[in-house]
Amino acid sequence: MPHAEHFLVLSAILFTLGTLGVLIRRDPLIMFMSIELMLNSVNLTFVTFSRYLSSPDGQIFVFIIVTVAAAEVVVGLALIVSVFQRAQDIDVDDLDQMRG
Amino acid sequence: MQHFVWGILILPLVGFVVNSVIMRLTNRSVSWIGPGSVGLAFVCSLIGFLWLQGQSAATRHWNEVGWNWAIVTGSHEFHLKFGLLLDPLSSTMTLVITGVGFLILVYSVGYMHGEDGYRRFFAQMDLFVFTMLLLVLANNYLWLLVGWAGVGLMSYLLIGYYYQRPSAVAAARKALVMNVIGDWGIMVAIFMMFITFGAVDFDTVFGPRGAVSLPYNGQVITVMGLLLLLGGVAKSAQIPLYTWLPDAMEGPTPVSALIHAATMVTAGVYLVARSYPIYQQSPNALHTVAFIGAAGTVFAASMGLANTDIKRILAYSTMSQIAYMFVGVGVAVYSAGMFHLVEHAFFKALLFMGAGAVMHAMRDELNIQRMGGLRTKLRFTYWTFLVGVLAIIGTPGFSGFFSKEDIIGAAYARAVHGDGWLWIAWALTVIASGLTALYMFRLFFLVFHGEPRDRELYDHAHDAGWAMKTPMIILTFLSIVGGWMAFPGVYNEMEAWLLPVLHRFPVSPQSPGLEPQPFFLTSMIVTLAVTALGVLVAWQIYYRRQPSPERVGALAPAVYQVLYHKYYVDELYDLLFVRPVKFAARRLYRFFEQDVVDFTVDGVGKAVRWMSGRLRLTETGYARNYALSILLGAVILVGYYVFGGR
Repeated sequence: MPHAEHFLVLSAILFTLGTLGVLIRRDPLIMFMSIELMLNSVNLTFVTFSRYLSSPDGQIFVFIIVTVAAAEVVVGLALIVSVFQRAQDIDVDDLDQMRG
Repeated sequence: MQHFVWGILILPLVGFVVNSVIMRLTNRSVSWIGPGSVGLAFVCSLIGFLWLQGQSAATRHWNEVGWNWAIVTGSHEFHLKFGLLLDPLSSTMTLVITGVGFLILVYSVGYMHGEDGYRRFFAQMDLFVFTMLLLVLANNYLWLLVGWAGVGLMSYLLIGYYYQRPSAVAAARKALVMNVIGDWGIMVAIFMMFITFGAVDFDTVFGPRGAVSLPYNGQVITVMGLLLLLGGVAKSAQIPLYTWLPDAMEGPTPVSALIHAATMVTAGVYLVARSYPIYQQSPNALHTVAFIGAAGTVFAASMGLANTDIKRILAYSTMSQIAYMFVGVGVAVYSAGMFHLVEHAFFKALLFMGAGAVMHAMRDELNIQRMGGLRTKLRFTYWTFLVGVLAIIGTPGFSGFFSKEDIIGAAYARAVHGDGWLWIAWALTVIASGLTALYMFRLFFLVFHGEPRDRELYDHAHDAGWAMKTPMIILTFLSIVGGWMAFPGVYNEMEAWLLPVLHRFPVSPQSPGLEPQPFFLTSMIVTLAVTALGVLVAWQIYYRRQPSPERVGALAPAVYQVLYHKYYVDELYDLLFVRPVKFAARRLYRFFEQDVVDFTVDGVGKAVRWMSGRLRLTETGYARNYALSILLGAVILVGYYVFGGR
């Protein structure tokens, strides 16, 4: 019988992996996937607490997050396509116009 | 009816607002709105005047309170109201300002035709009329000062009308600085009134608990009178603050006629007449007024003798005539000063219009040495100018005769009645009337008689158009009949008209009496003889040229040089005030501005630049660096809530 700790540890591992992906990878698509991974690890935490505290609140949050994530995917993909069209390249380190 | 007093004040303001705000106004509309608003204000002034005429002497004033401007509560309870006072004194002033102002604005339509900034000119002239009316209609000293400073500002703007000309800008600056010295005097006088009387409105300051309650000829009242006089001296171009007036002739001629001859420069006379309870309480201050005036009559007239600039000669004559008014109010015959103020507005405006017509004909030439013989070319200007000259020198029958005789006679009467010092004042005014005849006829003969000295200018000369001629005709008429409201020793309507003002407030029994002064034929005969002598000398030298002006000048070259250089007063002021200030300013620039202020300001700038240079290293432009800093921030926040506070 798995305990809450198992789910939470799994969630933490997923979140760390996602963070590392964002920080280390230079391919915007992979970074994007990593961000989704972070979001879903948080969703897992919400669901876990919802289940173990017998409260529906966490699940409602999850629905909202999934909805927002769907919208965010649309915007993010559009940005990536736009960047690709302008730079003919998808290395985020080339996008350093903001350097001071 | 009395509420029309608001119309007097507001109509010129409306004219200013319309002229300055509506950008797409054509010059044609400006020519209607500019003079029209002042003309309507004249109608309102006339209604106010007629209303006052209908009142009995005891109730011949209207104190129209507008609203509370400032209320101070506490131990020094203080209410300052904005209100207008219509009485014979302010009514006389409004009639002159709006009446002569209207004529001069009509004249300007012709004179300023085709000038750049036509709309600006009329907007500023309207605003000038408004501030001048505020000055004379205010029922307390604070609002009087607002108008006072306002006319100073408009004078500054209009002297500097040709702002591309450095000399005009310098003249405007000079006028402003000298006027502000006077404004300061009035301001301090107002502070003193507030401390001693706890109020600044005329009713309280002049009332039983005002000026008359202070010790007769005491220090406080004398200082108050002298401070007010400082304002009057600066505004009316009297000794020692007069050097701005000749330079002010850099402005367009209608400006010289309206501001620097007919209205603004006579404000000092109005101020002394208005503040008569203060001066009645302090004979010392009153004597100062009389002697500054008496000295000014001769001093200014002598400077007019050697000048060669047509407008500057008229400026010196203005200064001299205002000095006469100062003598009039200074011998406590306030109606005489006001009478001359009104007549002077007529004939001096006429003379300036004549000068403007001459300049118009001579392509803006000002030097009378290059004119001559214009009698045949400018017939109209010749005759009107002659009337103006006859009026100013006091030819019997012309307006200046009656008013000037009123003043000189008053000084004589006071001297006879025991005020011995005033013999000096009387003698000076008599000498000045001879000098006036001399320099005015010198100007007249040099411009209109003799041989043309500049053929080319002479050939192109022509009389002005009707917009300029009509006001000149009206003023010519007024310069003759305007004085007929008084006849020395027989009747004096002006005095009778102003008497209710002088009887409204209590004065000390020791003070010089306010009753009409007796008439002395001796004074009049002496004055007329001296005047005739002046005319005769001018006729000999400048018309018959026997001896010629050059030979007269060579008789005493030193005197001529001193007069020509205006007693070197400009140079003296330059040495005493301008140079030390410039020197101090240069030192301060070097040792304070550069070493202290610039060092600090530059230092702050450098420090900020150095720090931002360090800080910008964090801005790499890489998305993951920003992501990392967000993560770190999140970790710190979470760490704080988990391990630290709550």
